[in-house]
Amino acid sequence: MRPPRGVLTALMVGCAILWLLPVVWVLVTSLKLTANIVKLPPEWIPWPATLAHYGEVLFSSSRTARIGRAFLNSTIVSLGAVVLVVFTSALTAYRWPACAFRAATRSSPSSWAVS
Amino acid sequence: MLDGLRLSFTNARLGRAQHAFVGLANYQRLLDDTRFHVSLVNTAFYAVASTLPILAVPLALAIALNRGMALRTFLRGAFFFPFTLSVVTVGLAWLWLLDPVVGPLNYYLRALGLPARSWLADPTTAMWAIILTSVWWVTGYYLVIYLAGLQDIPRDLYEAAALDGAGGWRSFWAITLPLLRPVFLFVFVTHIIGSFQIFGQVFILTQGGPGDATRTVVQHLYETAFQNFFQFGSASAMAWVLFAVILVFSLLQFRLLRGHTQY
Repeated sequence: MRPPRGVLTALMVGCAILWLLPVVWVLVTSLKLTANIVKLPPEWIPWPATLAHYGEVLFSSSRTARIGRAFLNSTIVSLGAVVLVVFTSALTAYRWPACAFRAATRSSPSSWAVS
Repeated sequence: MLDGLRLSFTNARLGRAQHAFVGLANYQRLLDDTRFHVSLVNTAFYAVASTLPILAVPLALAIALNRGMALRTFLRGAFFFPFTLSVVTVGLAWLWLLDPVVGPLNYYLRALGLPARSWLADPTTAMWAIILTSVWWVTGYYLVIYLAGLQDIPRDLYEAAALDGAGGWRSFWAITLPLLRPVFLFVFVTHIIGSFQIFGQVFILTQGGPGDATRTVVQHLYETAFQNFFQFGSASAMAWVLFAVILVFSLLQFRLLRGHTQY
């Protein structure tokens, strides 16, 4: 009862495009002139396009320092968390199979597989 | 954590130098705190109502993608993409899409002759809008987990089933679903824990409104601790109640989905 592969692919591509619409909307909005942002009917092509918003976020004197600092903070948090989580999880998981083996006679091995 | 437990037995507030031991008074107060009850019910509703879509949507996508079709890398990336966004981005994007006046969703609904609604301001739809947003956000993550699970199922089982004359549905029910049991358990448990801790989406989309229709436990806790006279004692008590609820649910789920998956 398998649908032909082409049909399935087309269907999935359709779903994926629908799925990405909110993201596209945000991207399109970021390129619009401020005056054109709130407009009905919704415009999906940002024309006339502008990079002014990106310029403001990245280079305007009032914001640059802060977004730089924010990125630095986020980087420190994610790097630190990644290193610590990988390290501690690896240590814990290393001991896990031994416990699982002992428990295997009583409970199912598969219940340990992902827990 | 233990300090939180100690705190939950005191009347601690910011600015109060001495914390008196008040026994179970904080817990007692929670029993009478109707807003806490409302938020518990809302959170439970969210957890239950979002579970089916969270189990089914990524699974359907994963099974389709597992057929090894053209563009599969693109497709996987497309569905995973929202998960790379932060909850604030997701919340703001949907806040706008769902906006009753300038939001594209209502515009197209109207264009199709369907009734437009203020999704987030209507108590009957607000929670569903939050569920929709969450499903959109996390589906990609669970999709990847399901894909990994599907690829762990040996091919020859399907071949043997096909030789025995089993059709697509039959192999799905008899092979795919049972062998995905550990994956279901993981998705189920992670999702329920996450649901009980939901805060970001709600805080951005509705701030708990309209009225208290989407107020959740963590939001109530946050407001008790940081916006309402810094009642750390009460807030700690809530945190422990929430923890107990999550623990009970997780144990229940492990019980429910335990069992042998041998083949």
